[in-house]
Amino acid sequence: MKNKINLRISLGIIIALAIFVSGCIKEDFDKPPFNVPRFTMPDGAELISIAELKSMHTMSGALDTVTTEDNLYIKGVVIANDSSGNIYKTLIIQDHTSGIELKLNKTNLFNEYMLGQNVYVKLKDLVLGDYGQLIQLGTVFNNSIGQLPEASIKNHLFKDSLPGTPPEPRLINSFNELVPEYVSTLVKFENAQFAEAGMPYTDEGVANTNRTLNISGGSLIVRNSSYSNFATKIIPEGKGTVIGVLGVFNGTYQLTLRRDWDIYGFSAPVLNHVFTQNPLTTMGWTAKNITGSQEWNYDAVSLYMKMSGNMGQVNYENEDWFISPSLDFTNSAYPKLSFVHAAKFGSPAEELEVWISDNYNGENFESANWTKLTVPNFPSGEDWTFIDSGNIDLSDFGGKSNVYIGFKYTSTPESATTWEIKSVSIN
Amino acid sequence: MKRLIILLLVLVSSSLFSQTSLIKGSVVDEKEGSIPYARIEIGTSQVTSESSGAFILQVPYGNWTYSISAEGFEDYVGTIEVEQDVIDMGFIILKSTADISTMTDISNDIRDNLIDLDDEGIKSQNISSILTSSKDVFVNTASFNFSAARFRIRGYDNEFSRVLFNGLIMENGETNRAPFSLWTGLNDATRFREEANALNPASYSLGMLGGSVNFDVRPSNQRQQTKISYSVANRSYVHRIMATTSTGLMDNGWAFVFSGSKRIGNEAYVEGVFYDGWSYYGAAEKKINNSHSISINVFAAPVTRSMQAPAVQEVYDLMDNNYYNPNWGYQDGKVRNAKVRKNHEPVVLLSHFWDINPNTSLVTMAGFMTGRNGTTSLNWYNAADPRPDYYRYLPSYQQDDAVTQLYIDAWQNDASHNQIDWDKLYQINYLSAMAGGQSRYILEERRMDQTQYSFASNFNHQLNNNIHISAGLDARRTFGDNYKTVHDLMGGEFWVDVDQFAERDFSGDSIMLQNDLNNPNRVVREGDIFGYHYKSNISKVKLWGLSEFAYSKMDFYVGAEVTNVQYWREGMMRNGRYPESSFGKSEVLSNFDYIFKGGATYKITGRHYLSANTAFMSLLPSFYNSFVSLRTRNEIIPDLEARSIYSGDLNYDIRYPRLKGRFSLYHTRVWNDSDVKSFYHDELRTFVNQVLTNIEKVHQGMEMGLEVQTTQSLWVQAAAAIGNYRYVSRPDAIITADNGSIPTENSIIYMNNFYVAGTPQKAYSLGLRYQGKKFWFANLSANYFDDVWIDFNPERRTERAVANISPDDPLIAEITHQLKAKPGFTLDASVGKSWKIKSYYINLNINVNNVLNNKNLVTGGFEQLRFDFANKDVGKFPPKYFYSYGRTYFLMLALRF
Repeated sequence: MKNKINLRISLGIIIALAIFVSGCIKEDFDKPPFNVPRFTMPDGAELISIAELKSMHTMSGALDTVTTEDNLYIKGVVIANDSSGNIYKTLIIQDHTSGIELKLNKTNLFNEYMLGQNVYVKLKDLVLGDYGQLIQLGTVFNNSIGQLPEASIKNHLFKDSLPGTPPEPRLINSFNELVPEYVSTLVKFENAQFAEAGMPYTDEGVANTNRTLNISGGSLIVRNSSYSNFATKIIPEGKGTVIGVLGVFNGTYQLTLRRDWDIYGFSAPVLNHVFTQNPLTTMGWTAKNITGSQEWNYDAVSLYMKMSGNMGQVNYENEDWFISPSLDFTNSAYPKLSFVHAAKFGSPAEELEVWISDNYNGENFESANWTKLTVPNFPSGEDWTFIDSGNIDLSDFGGKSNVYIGFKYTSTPESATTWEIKSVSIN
Repeated sequence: MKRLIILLLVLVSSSLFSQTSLIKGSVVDEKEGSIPYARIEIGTSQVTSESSGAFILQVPYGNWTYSISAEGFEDYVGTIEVEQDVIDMGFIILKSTADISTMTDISNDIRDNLIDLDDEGIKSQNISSILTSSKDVFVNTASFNFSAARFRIRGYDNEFSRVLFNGLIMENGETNRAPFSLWTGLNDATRFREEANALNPASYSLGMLGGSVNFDVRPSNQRQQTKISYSVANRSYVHRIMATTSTGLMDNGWAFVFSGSKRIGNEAYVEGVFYDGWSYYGAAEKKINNSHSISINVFAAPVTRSMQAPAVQEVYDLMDNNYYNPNWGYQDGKVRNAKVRKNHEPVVLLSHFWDINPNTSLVTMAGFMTGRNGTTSLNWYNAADPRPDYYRYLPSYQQDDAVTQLYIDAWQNDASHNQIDWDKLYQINYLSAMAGGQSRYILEERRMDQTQYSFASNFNHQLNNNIHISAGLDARRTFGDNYKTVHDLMGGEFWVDVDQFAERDFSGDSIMLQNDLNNPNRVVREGDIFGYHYKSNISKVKLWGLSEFAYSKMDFYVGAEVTNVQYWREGMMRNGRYPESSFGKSEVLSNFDYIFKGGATYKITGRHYLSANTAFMSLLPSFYNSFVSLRTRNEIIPDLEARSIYSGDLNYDIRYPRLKGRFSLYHTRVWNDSDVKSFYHDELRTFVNQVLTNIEKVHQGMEMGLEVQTTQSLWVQAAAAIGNYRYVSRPDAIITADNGSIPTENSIIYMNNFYVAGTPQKAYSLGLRYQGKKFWFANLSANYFDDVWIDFNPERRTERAVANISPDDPLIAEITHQLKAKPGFTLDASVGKSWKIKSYYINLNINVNNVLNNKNLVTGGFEQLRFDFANKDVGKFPPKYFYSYGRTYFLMLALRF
């Protein structure tokens, strides 16, 4: 009997224990609220422009303490950070006047300072220095400009609001447009071309590699770090758009890339033929004589292809085609045709045409489908001046692999132009 | 000449085989219930009583003192004149005593306080002290008084001790260590045990080097009793409530045991640590008839707790706290710890007891265990290291005095700097999610779930008065499932499963960075498996036999054990760095392990005896230590061989009624051992594996235990362990990186004569025990520890580490010298009183460890596995230490009826 009583009591206690179990420590944590950073400058504080700040730098190599007062600030938007690894322990901010590099001893800054983030910088005890004339804001370290210690960053950098759209890069059309105010701001170059197309962005075994970007009117050094995540990617061929942060090093302009998709729109030309040699024999062009005894021929002295229906002062009826080699547009979505030509006599705009086919195979001229193209610029016919035809949009044929361009010449006994074509290019 | 030899033989045989008597009896309590596991000592002969309380032992003729003792009862002593063939002592009634020891509780508590160090290169803490209530004079003291200093008996790794339940081996299939966490908090249900010390074999197991303990969890062997206790402490938990009831064998042939406990506490001793555990136990036995009995035991100890981690001394000094814990920080004002361990691994045991005849028994057991075992940890992608004590966030890393001071101030005043800044990690994740990116910080949970099926059968037969035979069969199969899951996205939306370190080092190669080529660039969310996933398979089939011979002057035994061991790994992911060798099954590693043991005891007189034990073993390393990098690939350690171990000891025992002592000398040598250490290399940003082979070790030393009863109620206890545990070879090392970014390195490690770390090699204790009238007791003991050697980084003992340093430059010694902690002294005290009210016993015990609050006792430490090869600056990655707690208490109130 005692057994059973004991058992019951003990079972009861154990059940009580089991209930006790539910009073355990909660493991699931509430998520802290999302804090939108807010900052307003304290009363009496003054905001200066970045250009004004940079002007306080006395000379190259100097270390200028900006101020010891705690009421001076600059404000900028983050335009470049270390997300790709190409930039290290640096943030670049710009305002409407200029931009500046902030040297900060912290990695993975991009997690907290995203592109488009507004940042106020309290200038107290910060130092302006330069690296090869590129002005930087930081502290003094070993008698030169150094990074702000990580523990100090929260006393100097203040985020305001959520990251917004970063500012548009400034389009630079020509090298001569570059001025010192643009240093450390975001710039964009179109129709730029890398000298080292086909090579990787960085060489193996070195920390940094210089590449050359050719733009209209000059060229810039583009310096890449082997720690970037595009270090082993191949520089594209041809021309395209490049966005980056303008820099300077000992008097020469440089460009720092932020990430590899700042380089886009590059395409190698599909065709770039300049007729310094006979295209019919050396470049795969063909000539087809449909009507008349005059034919397309190559002028080896003046270096162009020529067709004329006029012979010995008499006009004859002719139809002649000058056909390109097979063109491959698979890597080109928006190919554009342009050529340099001259024409005199007759009515060039009516008698000269350019056609395109995607099912011609070299044999089936009659049965292939040819589409006429609109040429923007024809010579007037008054003189022998060579002009550019203008861009002819071939995007309807973009992506196709077997395309032919045909230059169709027609003449009648009443009218015959002389057509000269110096070069043809498709980009 | 011939006559002399015959005379000698006759003399020897007569002294060996002189007259002995068979003494039998039955030990019962006041209610005439039987007392199993009572210890009966007559002269130098000893035996333990059966479940029925009956005992029988062989004692040579003479005048002897005897003592019969059992836990929970007063000792019964007397003298006996032995001059007949058979003596029947009849029923010996023991009086219940109120004194119950809390020593087990405290030792268990100390043992349970594991520090998880797996990403620092050291696997889960290796604990000894399984023999906490042993009657052996040395072990009894050592296992309690030395446990706070993480003392390991003879310096052995836990895998050389055996733990059994009803004769079924309990072991973690992957590490071969005893899985104590499976029965944490079930102290009362696991009170009955048989123990064998060090090399000594036992009837339930041959044992290995470090002793064995068999927990008798057969319900009919438990006395009818109910016990409820409540305790308050300040070590790992604060409150504990425990209740156990056993019915004993009832008239209807049934016996039941139920037990449960709940342990809970927040920041009991260390900041940022919480403990929430409970345990349940149920057992039933049905006696079918006088020969057969079957029983079932079901138990588990689910625990959720957060962990402490060691730090470098610079950080302890900055925070003025040797128990600083870098694992926690504030989240929205609340304390949150990044390392939370959650276990729930239930065990089911089925046993069949067959008493074939009074001399023969067969016990057959089947065991099943399964469950979950996971620990969380922070992980991050392209983000700053969130750990507050990352070496670059320390003042010592800064190069400018002003900046150093800035960091010191931040450490001492700013909780967002000296602990994890959870709020900031969430803000970064929110920003990233807004921009459509993945979480930069997550909590992952690393799971090591095991399911094990085991079957064993133990046969025991008393052949005749002198010879006892034991034999057994054990077969077990372990299925381990190892992987990690996303535990908490911490405010973000997803994570991409790639190896960020390979991504960085092999930029542009989209194959290398995959963790699973079968599912490249997988987007994972909370609960998804990612990173690594492999299954472990361990199969062991064992046969063993032991013959024990007992004669009046001499006992000896011989035993052997053979095990067929098979391991293989099955990769569930095709790792991008090892696409050909990670997915699917590995080669099967197979071996026949064996153990040979032999020993003898010579009884010089009734009070003095001399014994020697010897063992030779050949054992494959554990599954865990057989593979180069379990997380990434199937590669087995090249040229892996079984380790050879030879061990011998010599013991001298004294047994007087008021003086008991043991003095031992031992020597063990290990050959062909291997070890794998994995650690996170922050510059290579990947896990690096150091595989050492051809390790040779020596463990030698002396143990001494002494207990003297000076007056009726005062005992003096002394114990000393002086050990010399060293490495005696120059192992070969293979060093590889999980992200494949460095070529495999082969080196010789110049570590000959280095000390084995992880235990004080010298430990001494002197104590007083007072047992007062009217049921109260008091204990005081003074302990001294020395020769705690710091675990070392093998890579620092290579040619490469000291290259280009001139031979007489003291820098070489600085780089290669092994560090030793300072010796330490502690004082422990306890006091207790019991009351008896009608048939209820009430106990109150108060235990204070480290009364003098010595907070400078280093109990261990390790050099970081990174070394500044470039500048050879030893101070750049200093060692990490763990300190023994200061003054802690344990107070328990118990009711028994």
